[in-house]
Amino acid sequence: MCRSIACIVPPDLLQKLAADATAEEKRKLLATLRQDRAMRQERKLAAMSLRPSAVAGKGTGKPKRAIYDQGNVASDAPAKLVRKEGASASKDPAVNEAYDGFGATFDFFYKLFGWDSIDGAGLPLTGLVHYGAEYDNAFWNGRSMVFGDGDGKLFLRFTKSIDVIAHELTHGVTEHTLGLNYSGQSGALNESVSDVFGSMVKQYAKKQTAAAADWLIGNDIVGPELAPALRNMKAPGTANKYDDQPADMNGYVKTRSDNGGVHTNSGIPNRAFALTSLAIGGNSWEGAGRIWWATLRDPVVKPTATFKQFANSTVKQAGLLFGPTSAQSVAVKTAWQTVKVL
Amino acid sequence: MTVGEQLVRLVRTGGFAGLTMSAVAPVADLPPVAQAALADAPPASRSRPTAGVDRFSFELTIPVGPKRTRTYRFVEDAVPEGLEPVVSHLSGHLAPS
Repeated sequence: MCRSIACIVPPDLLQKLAADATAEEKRKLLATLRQDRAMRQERKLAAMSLRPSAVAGKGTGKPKRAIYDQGNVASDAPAKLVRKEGASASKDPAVNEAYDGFGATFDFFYKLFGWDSIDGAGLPLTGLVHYGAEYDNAFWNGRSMVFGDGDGKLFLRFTKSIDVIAHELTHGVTEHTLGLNYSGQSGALNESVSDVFGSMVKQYAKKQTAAAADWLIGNDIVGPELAPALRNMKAPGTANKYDDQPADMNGYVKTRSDNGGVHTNSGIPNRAFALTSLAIGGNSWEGAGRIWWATLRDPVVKPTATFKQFANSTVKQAGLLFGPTSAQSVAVKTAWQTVKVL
Repeated sequence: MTVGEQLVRLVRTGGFAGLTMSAVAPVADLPPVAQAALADAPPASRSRPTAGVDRFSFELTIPVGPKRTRTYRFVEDAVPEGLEPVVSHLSGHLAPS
């Protein structure tokens, strides 16, 4: 971004120059000064988004987990507390999977981005397991992460997969950062952000590079009918025989169902992230992950963000973090062009 | 309401998987409690939004005359009052579509 005088001339000198300038010179210098202030502020925000000390600061940096057994009743009210923070493991694998999955996801956000829990300020992590009878779903209800046991045919228990647990927890993080509306393109971005961080948490836990990762979502929870996975971030539309996710904007689905196809069109930004990670190389969380996280902290991105607005922010954040002509910046721009968003 | 070969249809979308599932059944094949529920079906109304994300959404289409149907759109925790037996029965027969 060193195309202007603002990169090397201190703001106070610019102000002094403006005092003695002609009207036209003054107009140009003041414009430069405004641009300089905006750039410094953006750099400051980008740096803050990656520093532990910059978060709200009310948390302790340690998770506060509580897992409740819903006893196969479809109620959102926490039922029986079966494991709280620091307690020994349960005999119930679903309880331990939820507890450990929350821990891995908490560590990911805190150690890499300094974000303390769901809200950045140490919010307790509440998990409800054994929700409903053979319930084929997991969801975030605004207070808790809720997991069904699956019917054993289409789905197995939803806590088996760390990317599913991280996906649901990330919905809470999105709610407390960009607050993306759950409809249309902003809703598909909301879903995609959960897949992106869900996949990264899995890769981080397995110490996998982007090249070694499978980029599959839900491969641990699908039964034979849906095998091998629910979604494929690298190749949307190929995860199973019912997968109808588009791989680029030419296939964007306009529909009233599922809040405007939020789980369908999320394939487009999912692929942009996978392509960016693969082009940068190494660990996804060190390159593309930092860019996407900085975008989640970008005040310019509104809850109604379109794919294009979100993409433009990732390009801007890549420039701020790595430089506008860096390999990371080229990778992110090329990825969004490949999926025909930019 | 005339029963017989008229059909009821339930479509479920959303959820973590985003998988579209559907079930269709002749009214005559429904359990008596579900047939009775159809006879007293409420008028269609706008469903309240649900809290959170990744929850199921439903579309239930029922016959209300020889050539007329009525469609209800609702989220999983806001099933139209009185139609629970119909939704419960068809939910047990959902298949990917």
